[in-house]
Amino acid sequence: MKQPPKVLLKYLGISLGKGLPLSIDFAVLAGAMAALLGEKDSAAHTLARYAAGFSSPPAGKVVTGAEMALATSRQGRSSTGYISDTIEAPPGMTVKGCISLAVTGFGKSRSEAAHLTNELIGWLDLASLTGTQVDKLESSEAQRTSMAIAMATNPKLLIVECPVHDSLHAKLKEFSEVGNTVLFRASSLGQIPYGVERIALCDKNGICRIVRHSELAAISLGGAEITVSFYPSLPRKQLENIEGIKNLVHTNGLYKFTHADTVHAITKLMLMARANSRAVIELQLSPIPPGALLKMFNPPDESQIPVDLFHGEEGF
Amino acid sequence: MQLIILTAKLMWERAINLKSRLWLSVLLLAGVFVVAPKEEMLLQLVSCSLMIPAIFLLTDWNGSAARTGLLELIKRGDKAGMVRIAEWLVPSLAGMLISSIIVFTVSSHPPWQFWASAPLNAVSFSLIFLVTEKYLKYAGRTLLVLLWLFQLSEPRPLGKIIDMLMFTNYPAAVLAADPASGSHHPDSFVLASLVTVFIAAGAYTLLLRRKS
Repeated sequence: MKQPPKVLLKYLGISLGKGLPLSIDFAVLAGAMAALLGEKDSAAHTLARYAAGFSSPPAGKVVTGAEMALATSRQGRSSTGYISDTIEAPPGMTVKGCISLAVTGFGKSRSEAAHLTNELIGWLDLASLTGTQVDKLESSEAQRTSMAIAMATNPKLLIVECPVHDSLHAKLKEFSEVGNTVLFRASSLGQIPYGVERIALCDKNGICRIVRHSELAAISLGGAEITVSFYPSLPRKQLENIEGIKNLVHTNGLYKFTHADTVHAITKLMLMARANSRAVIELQLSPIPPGALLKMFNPPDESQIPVDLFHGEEGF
Repeated sequence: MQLIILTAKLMWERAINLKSRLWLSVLLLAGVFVVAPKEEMLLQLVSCSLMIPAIFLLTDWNGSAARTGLLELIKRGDKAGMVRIAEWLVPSLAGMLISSIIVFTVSSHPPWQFWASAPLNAVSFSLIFLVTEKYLKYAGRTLLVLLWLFQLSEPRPLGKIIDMLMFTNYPAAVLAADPASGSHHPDSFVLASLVTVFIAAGAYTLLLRRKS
């Protein structure tokens, strides 16, 4: 009989503070890759830390692993690994020393520890770095070392801080394909690696929407955040007339907005400048920030917090 | 065992690179020679030697990069407790070793009470020092130094009561005890050492629970 897919991570009834609204419940299945997407001041970072077992939320709970243990419990922590490009290690410790120590800390005997350390070094192409001190590693090397350390406990769930170096993409995919879960924490859509199925969009209070990667890419495709200023300045009302303009902000003569069709928006800006005898003195394009991406969807009904545990999950 | 040895190595490497720890230890020893009465000097050295390794290895250890990095690397495994055991075990063993060497210069046949109370005292002091380093830091160090100087100075007011409260003095007090002359019986220091180690272990356990 076909077994239902296992859930390896659940955020249940999370609130980041007393009186703050609840975050949407979120679960990630075994064998899947998901992402928490939010700007630097959003809850994405905090939620990733909850899943990694660094701290527990003031309200609600985060459970991880096949046993669904609390993320901060011993069982929860041993089923989770955390990958970033900074490694905290005793001063002067080498890459091999760190991996070996992490394996030893998991209770392996000396021979088992040596064997597993060598396997991890080989799998993550760290052979040329074994004698290098971890504080002298470059970002990509530190990330690979961090992954080797995280793998020492044979985790079921990996929490990864983006941006992720290219050399890790294949390894993380390989990890998830054998029935494990990867959760990325990203601050822009471009940082999320290929293969991530679901993305939880986060604001300051937690997860506010869960979307498919393809859905989000389609919405933001061809879109950009545009910053423009005119001389002499144009009244705000003129810009508001551009069809499809969103998140318009005007500060010190500088207009900032997002638009799903960049070419259309820029053409309109140029025509508007010419028609009003203005010169465009500044024009900048940048990817749409997560906060603005959220506003591109229809605002959810705030009177009812949806429980969206498996939204868009195939085969469930 | 590997983790205990590694923790000891890191504690030692960190301590010898910090000259202030050496000076602090030398000052404690100098205090014995300057403040203690001549007839008690060797006895006080025995007590002092039980404490010096803890002061040398554990001062500022709690927030050090070595400890944080070590715990960070092994926290997902189930062996993090070995680091915590090493933190009190290593200074206690070192203290016991040094004081055992010194005690034979004082007495060729130390009483059995010494061998019972000295290890308990070494453990108590290491645990208490770990707790004070966590919560009191400089205030804790100052209090312990004052306690040490008070213990060395003579005469002490309320001598007999104070002797029982001065846990850093138990090993010396056991060696100097002479019930015939009206001082405490050495057995009472063994009992007091036991009580102290229970209190210290209780405080340390509470500290660990509060942190987790």
